[in-house]
Amino acid sequence: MTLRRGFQVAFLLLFVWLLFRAGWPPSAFRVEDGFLRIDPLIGLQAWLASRQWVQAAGIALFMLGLALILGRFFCGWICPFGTLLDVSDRLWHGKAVRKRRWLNDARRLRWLKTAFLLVIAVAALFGQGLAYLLDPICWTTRLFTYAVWPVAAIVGNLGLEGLRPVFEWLGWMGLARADLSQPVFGVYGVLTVFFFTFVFWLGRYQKRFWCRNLCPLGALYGLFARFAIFRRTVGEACDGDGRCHRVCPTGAILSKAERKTDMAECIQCGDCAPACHLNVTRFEPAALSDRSPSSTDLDRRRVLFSVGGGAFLSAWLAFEPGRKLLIDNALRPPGALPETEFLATCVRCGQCVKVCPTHCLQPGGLISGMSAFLSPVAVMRLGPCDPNCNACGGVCPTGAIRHLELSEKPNARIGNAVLDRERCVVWEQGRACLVCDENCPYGAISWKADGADRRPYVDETRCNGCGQCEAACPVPGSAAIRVHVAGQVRLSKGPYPPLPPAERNESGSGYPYF
Amino acid sequence: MSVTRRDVLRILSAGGLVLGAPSVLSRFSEAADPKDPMAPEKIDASELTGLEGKPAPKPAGPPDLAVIEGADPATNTKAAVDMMGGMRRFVSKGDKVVIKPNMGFGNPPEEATTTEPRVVRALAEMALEAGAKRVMIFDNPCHRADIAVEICGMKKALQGLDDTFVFTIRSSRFFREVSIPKGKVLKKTKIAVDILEADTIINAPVAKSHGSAYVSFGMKNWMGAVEERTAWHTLIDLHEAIADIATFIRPKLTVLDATRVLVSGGPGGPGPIKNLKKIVAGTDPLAVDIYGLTLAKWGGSGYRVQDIPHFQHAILRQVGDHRIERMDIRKVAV
Repeated sequence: MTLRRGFQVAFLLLFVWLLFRAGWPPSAFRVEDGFLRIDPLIGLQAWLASRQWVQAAGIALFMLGLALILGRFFCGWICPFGTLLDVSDRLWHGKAVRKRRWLNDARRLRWLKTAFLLVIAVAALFGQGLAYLLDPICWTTRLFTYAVWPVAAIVGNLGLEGLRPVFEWLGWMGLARADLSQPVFGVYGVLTVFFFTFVFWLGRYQKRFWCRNLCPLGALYGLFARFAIFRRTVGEACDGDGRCHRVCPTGAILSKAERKTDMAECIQCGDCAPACHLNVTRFEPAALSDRSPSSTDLDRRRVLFSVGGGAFLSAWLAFEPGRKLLIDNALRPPGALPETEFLATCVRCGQCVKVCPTHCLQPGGLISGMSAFLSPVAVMRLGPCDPNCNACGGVCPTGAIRHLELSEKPNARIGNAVLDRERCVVWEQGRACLVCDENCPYGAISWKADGADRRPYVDETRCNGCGQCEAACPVPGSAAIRVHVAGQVRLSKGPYPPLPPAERNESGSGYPYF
Repeated sequence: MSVTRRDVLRILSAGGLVLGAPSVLSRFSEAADPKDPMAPEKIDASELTGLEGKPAPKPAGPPDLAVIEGADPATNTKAAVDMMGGMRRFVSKGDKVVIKPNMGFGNPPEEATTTEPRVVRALAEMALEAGAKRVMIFDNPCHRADIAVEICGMKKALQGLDDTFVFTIRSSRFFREVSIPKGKVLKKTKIAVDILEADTIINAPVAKSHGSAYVSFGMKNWMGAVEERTAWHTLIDLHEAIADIATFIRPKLTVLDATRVLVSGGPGGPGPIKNLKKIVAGTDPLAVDIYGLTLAKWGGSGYRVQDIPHFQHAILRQVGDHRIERMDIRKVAV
């Protein structure tokens, strides 16, 4: 195993480990989203689209600065998506490479990834975030969150249950009663698997097909990697044998006899150096004059087409028919920026969904329109937003969800609980139930006696919209008390207006009572 | 044959007697049998007055109820259990012990919605000293389980004790269906396997007010050992179900934590809290619960036994002895 393979495996494991340990309680250093935080594509997009300086943009500029020195080292050494591709490409290794002329041509589709980057950049200037559709780190995060995690939880719980007699016999009762929280993301896991299957399948035509032709993050790195100091050089003794050309996974070595390298394509993997029978290939600091002209055929027509496409897409998303009806139609996590700004900043990576311990946060469908696709929505019936948790804001790589102190979280209202008396078992059937009142952490639900019935009332001035009531309501189907967006408080900066102090009335009687 | 007026009257009256007798007789027998769950005449409100100062009817042996007041919850707990005859009375060597505290809410113990962790730790230490094989401390919380168990302080407080496990159960694989022989509305339900497999069950509830159940003491605490309880609010009567489960889960010892009590606004708070610094221990689950009513003005104005429906049902199901005025209640300040 080469040094690079070691790095790749280590970074993939680190990625998975960081992702799987993301939960409650959040880590003090907030590094669970480390890979997303160093992703320059989403950092720059968040900066451009929201027109706000975000911390992520600073890290993005730093990473691009690194690319000026080391080229596309990220793609070859760190990117977990790239590592997965190296694994999946091996599945096709040895089998006859499928022949389909336009898919096999190393140079033919290369311009696509830069065109995608252009579309994303233009959309960002128009205030729309599109990077989530193609950013590899977002996709890998979603793959492990939406597809791998639920399956891992099922398998893990089956294993724990199968081994339970053994644990009990050994007296390991902690393990015998261990239970993995079971998330369910339904169609979004399937969607992610489809995407990855397709990308893996493309590997039949070219190694690292994605990185060569489609990845906008690779294209962004490539813009800077062309000027990289640390680059591939070939000695004078080269006899044009072409072994390096055959072994290069990204087609950066353009032809057998070509001694120059397209550094916008080179991922610094170094596979060509040991392949060279003359041992004249090096990776070392070298003069810029050594570089080959760009091999990307991004002619004027394609540039115009990309810019136009980006402008058209953002216009379509911004003026989406019925958007006025759709906007704000979803509950957002506490601390989410105001909706327009939120959608521009959120990269739909799913990190907040992963970290949410109650599975209240779910990938949203088209509920708030197409521009909100895959953005996180709070589904209180699945689990409430626990007042002891501020994990989602802590791991949001772009700051679309603000990191709130737990003391401030009650003030960042998600919405208001609304009681449906027609369905409430106390109001409608006179049953003994005040589960909403029991669970309300903010003292926003009180009861008043009417005969033997103790009927719940909501005081919306104290309601945070956390949804403890909605999650716990025993009425089958959708709850008789539900959180609505009306009453949500979302600010881009500054402190939230505080909730009125909990006056401990009737079911809480004036404090202190005695 | 001629039928006279007298014949007709005779036949009609005889027939009426024969047909009417069963309903009249049954009414008599009903009156004799106190099946009406809300029959008020069986419970006298005055039974709760004059608790103080009654001489203990039993001169020797542990009392029926031990009430300890003191600054340190752990000391109180140890004193209460010692007064009840020591932990060895309840735990034999090699026993699997279950302590069921209230860990239902993700609130710190100062909010008085969960059992004071020092009380539970003292119980666990005593059980281990008495030779328990292991001590299982669990709840099926209302709030998110893994957060509640941390925030309520139980996990931290029990750290460092061997063979002691603090956990929550939500998944149905930790419950087993049983039939409740004395259950009236709850004939069958799924109960925590740890309860079913335990040699000794110790109930360690916190004393607090409760919206729908009026008060949440010992019997109410068993809702945390049941898997499916939403139906208790929608399909069957909550109060009867609490009494039913109390006929099935029989703790050897109930330790009611009244270190601080949530006088109203329970069970989740926020509400007025009174620092009573008391521990009530007893072997009779019903007696402990009924004594709990005397601890504070629950719900603001205070409740009598007949105000609490699940107490009524528990009395009728003979969960225990409710006549605490006849009991040996020993109160000590430490």
